[in-house]
Amino acid sequence: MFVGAQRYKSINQFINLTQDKKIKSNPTAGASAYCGAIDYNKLLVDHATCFSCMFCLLKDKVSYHSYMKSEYLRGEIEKRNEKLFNGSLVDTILPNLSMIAKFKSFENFTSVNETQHISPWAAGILEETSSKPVRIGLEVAVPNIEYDRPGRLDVCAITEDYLLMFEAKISLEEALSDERFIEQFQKYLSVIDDAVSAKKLPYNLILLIGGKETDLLYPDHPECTSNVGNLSKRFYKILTDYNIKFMSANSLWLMSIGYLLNGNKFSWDNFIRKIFDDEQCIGLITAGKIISSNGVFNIKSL
Amino acid sequence: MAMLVNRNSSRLECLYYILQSAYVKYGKEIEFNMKDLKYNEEDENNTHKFCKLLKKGFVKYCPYLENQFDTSKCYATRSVEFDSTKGKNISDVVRTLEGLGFVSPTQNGKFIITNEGESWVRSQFGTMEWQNLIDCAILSYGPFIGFLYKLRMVNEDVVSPSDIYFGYPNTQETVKVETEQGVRNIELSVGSKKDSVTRQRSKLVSFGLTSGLWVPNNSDDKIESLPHIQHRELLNKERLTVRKIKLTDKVKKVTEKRIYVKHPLSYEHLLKDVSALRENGISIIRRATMKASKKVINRRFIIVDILNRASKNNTVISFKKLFECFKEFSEEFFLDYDSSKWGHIFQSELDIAFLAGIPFEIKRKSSDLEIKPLTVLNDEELRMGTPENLICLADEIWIKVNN
Repeated sequence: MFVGAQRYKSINQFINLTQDKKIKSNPTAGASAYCGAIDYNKLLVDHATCFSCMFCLLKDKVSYHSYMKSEYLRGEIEKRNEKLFNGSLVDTILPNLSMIAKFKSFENFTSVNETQHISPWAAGILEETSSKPVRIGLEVAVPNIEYDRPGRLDVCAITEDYLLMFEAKISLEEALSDERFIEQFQKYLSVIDDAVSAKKLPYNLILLIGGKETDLLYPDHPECTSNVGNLSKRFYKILTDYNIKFMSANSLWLMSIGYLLNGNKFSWDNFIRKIFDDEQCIGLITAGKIISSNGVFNIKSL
Repeated sequence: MAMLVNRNSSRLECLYYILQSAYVKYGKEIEFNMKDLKYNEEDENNTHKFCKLLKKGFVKYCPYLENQFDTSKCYATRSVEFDSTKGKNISDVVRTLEGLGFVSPTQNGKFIITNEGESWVRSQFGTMEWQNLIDCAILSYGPFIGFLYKLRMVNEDVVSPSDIYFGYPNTQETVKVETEQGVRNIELSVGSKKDSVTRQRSKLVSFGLTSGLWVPNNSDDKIESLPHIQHRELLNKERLTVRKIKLTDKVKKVTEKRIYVKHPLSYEHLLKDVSALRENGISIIRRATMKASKKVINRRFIIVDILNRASKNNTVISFKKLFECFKEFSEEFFLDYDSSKWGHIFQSELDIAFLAGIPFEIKRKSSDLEIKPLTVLNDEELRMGTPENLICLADEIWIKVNN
C-alpha cells in the first residue's frame, strides 16, 4: 500500500532526533501491497473493489472526491459516521463487488501479511490523522541488553508532546499462538522509559490487532466469537495480568472516518491519548472503550 | 458422490497398495465397508503384502508410524487392533478413492471397486499406464479442478499455495440465539477452518505433483520422467515440504478445453460436516449452524447447478440476474432478514463453485458482471441426494437467468 518511511536506528534516535538532522518524508504511496482498487496515476478509486481502508481518502483530495462519487460508498461512510464509538460494534465497509476485489474486506486485508498490510496501513493513518506535525517510524529497533535479540516496534508516531507505538498482530489467534507480545511489551517498556526521560514525553504502547473484531470482545459479551478454545478468556487474563492495552485495527479505521468527516476531535494525538488516559481502559474497539473494573469488563461508549 | 477430503494420511502410492489389497479380497463384485480396509494381521492379503514402502527393521513396518512395533501397522488405514484416529484415516482413504473414482458407494452404505479402480490396481506402478490412470482420476475430482484453476488464475510463474484460500466459503453470517446468558449473536460455522484448509491444500498440492501439473519452485521446470516417479521421494516424505510451486505447461494443455468433471462435490457435501464441530465452547455454534444448514446447502447447490447448466449451454450468467433470483426466493436462501447483507453473502457463496469443480471467470460488463463457467460437471453426481423441490426451484431460476 505504501512504503518508504524514514528508517531509525533505535527508538532512542526516533524520539530524540535533533531538528537539524535531515529526515526523509514520511510514508509515501507505493505498490508493495497494492490494494487493487486505486489507480496510482490518476489517484481515482475503483468503486466496485475499494474496501475502504480510508488511507487514500485521507492522503489525497482527488481520491476523496473520487470515492465520494459512489452512492454506495458515500452512503456507507455516512452511516458509520453516525455510529462512531456509540456502544455498538461498527462493521467495516465491504467492497461493492467483493467477488472481484483483491481483498474481500478490510479485515481480510489486516488479517494477513503483517509487515505489508496492517503495519504500513496504521503508519499511514497515523501520519494523516494528526492534529500536529508528526514523524512516523516503521520497524524501529528497541535494543535491550537483557535480551539477545533486539525487538522492533512495528509502528511509531511522535508529535511534539505525545508518542504512540503499536505492536501489530494480524489477528487474536496469531497473537495468542505464541503469546510473544507479552515478552515484547516487557522488553520494550524499560527502553522506552529511558528514551522519553529527557523530554518527559507521555506515551502509549498499544497492541494493534487486525482480523475479526468480534474476536476481541470479552468472553461474556454476547457477540464474542473467540470463546472457542477459550481464546477470549486467555486474552483478557493476559491483558489484566500484564497491564497491556489493545486496539482493534477496526477502531483505528473508525477513528480515521471520524477525523475525515469531523476533524481534529478524532486526531490520534487527541483521541487515542484521551482514551488511554483512563486507567481503567484496557482496550478500544469500534463500540467504544473496554473498561476493566474488579475483573468485570464492559464497553463504555464515547 | 465426492466429498472434500482433508487429511494427509493417504499418499497416492499408499492408496494404490491399499486398493490392491482390497481388490484381491473383493474384486469388482463384492461390496465392502470402510473398516474392512483396515490392516488385519490375520488377513493373508492385508496391505503389507502389497506395500512397497515398508522398511526393514526387526520386522517390516510402515515408515510413517513412529515405531516399528506400533500395532496400528499401517499409517493410512490403521489396524483393526488399534486405531487412534477413531476411523478418520480409513474414512479419508476410502473417500479419497471415491473422489478419484476408484471406488463408488453402493445403496446400502458400502463401497465397491469401479472399472477405473480395477484398471489402476492392475497397472504397474512406475509405468505410463499407471501415470495416465492417476492423471485421469485426479482430473476427475471436483475440488482438485477448482484448486488447479485458482492456482492458474494467480497468473504468476511461481505460486505459493498457502496464499490461496481453498475451502468452504466463510459468509460470516450471524444469527440470534437464546442462551442461558440471554440472546447472543452467534456466527455460523459454514466455512472451513484454517487447519482444515491447510490439510486440504497440502493434499491437492501432492496430487498436482503426482500428475506433473506443477513442480517445486526449487527444481527444474522440466518433467523428465513420469511425474509420479520423479516426485516419488518428495511425495512420500513424512511431511510434504513444498512451499512454492511452478505450474508446468501441462496446466495450459489441460485447461485449454473445457474439462468434464466426473466427480464434483455432491449436494450434501456442499457444506462441511457440521455435526463434527466439537471444539471447546462450540456446541451453541454447532446447534445454530445445523439449524441453518439446509438454507446454506440449498443456495450453494443453486449456484453450482445454475453455473453447470450455463456451461452445458455454452453461455454466461449475469451476476445481477442470479442475485435478483436469490432475493426473490430469499426465504429459501438467507437466514437474516437484513437484506443489506445478502449481496455480500451471495458473493462469498459463489466461491463454492470452485470447490465443487466448476471454476469461473468474471468479466465486467457495464454495470453488471458476466460469470463464465469453465468446466462441466457430472450432473448425476452433483445432484445425488438433492430434494426434488430444490431441483424444481433450480429449473425455475434457470429460466429466469437464461432469459
